[in-house]
Amino acid sequence: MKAEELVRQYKAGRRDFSEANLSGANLSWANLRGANLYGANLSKASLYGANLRGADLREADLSEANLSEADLRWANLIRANLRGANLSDASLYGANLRRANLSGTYLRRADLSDANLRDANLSEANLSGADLRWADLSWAKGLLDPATWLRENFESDKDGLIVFKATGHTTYGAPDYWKIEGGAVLEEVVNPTHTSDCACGVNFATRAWIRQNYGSKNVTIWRCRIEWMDLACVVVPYNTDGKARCARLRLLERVEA
Amino acid sequence: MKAEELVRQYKTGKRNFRYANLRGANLSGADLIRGNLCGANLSEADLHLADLRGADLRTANLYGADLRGANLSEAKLTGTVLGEAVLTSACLSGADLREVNLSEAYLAGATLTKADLRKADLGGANLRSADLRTANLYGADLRWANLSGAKGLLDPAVWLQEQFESDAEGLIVFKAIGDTYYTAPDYWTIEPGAVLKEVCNLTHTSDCACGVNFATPDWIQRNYANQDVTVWRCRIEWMDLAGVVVPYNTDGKARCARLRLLEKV
Repeated sequence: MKAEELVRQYKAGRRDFSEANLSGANLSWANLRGANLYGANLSKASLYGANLRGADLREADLSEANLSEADLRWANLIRANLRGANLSDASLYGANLRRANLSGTYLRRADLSDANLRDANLSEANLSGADLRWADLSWAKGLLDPATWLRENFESDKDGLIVFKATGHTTYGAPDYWKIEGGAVLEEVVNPTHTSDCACGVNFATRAWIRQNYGSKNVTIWRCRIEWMDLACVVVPYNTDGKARCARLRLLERVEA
Repeated sequence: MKAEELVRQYKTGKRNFRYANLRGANLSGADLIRGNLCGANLSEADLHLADLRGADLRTANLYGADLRGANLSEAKLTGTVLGEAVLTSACLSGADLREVNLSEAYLAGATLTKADLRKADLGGANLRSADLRTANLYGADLRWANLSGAKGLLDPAVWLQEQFESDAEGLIVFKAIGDTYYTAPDYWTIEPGAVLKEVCNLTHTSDCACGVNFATPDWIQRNYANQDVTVWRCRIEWMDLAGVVVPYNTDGKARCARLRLLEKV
């Protein structure tokens, strides 16, 4: 079926397009509100800004489709294949994404509040800036587990986790009230949003991240400790590249780059 | 309506200025206590240091208004347009800001004590050194918000330390199982030593969301006293504290990604 034909038929009142083959179709800004696209093939289709509010997209193939800024509020996407799709700035408020394949999808700034993501596959999905308030993530797969990430990237001693922090000529200057010396405790209110890659707090990172980002700059690297209880204030962003933040850590000693 | 006219009428006792057009008006320092400015157009107005205590500003347009140091305590601001408004050092104590769009708003040094910010959009807002003591942040959007030096936000580590004991391996918490609000998933084995796992919604402004819920004994007593529940003593291992969410407005309940059942109590 061609895109123009689909739009024409929708305008004429038809709603059932289940199993339609629309692979690669250009449906940007199309109004398909409430359409039945159950099992449709929309792979690589352009649905940029399309109105798919309340549409039935169960088991639809939307792999590599462009759904940026699409309105998918309350859409039924159970078991839909969205692998590699672009859902940046899309509104998925209240959408049912149960068991959907969202691996490698771009969900930057997407509104997933109140969405049902039970059993969804989110491995390697880009969730930077996504809104996950009240989203049901029960048994979702592929989301970064902060404890596992910390365990894999840092050592610990009996008092806490040993992490690294660069001070000096860094992207964000240290607040005036921080004392940069061995034994000093650095504190800052931490933004708790795990989809915000960069936000306020005491930033720390892996040594590799510091080397990569500040290798040639005039920074001092500190070995630091986050006490066990303070791990409750650690935020490891879902899409971390080696950086995380916390509310409190203690500078232990300077280390070589 | 001109600013001078509004001030004059206010002084003579008039309070109803609903839907008044005061776009770009100079009302700096004006006394408008409990004024009814519902639906008024105050976009780009200079309300710097204005006294708007208890004012009704519902659905008013304050886009780009200068509200630096203004007193908006107990003001009604639901549905108010506040985009680009400057609220630096403003007093919004006890103000009703439910569902208000404050994204990218300048709220540095503002007093938001007891403010009702339920479901407010604070995305990218500058809340540096703002006072948020006892503010209700239920459902608020805090993505990219700058909270540097903000006062009064619940510190999860402090709260956990105050509410629970710990041993060498982790934090000792309590969990009710049985006739609870949310039934245990089929795949959980309920026996001593079993580890309960669930993906945790990490949003701190969502009081209730997916994850392995746990609570203080007092919370369990209050909520399940007459229900058929078993209370378990559990341990969250130290490293797993990184997956704990203590909602800002917790009443004694929190959630985590993983805990171990120790014994029935």
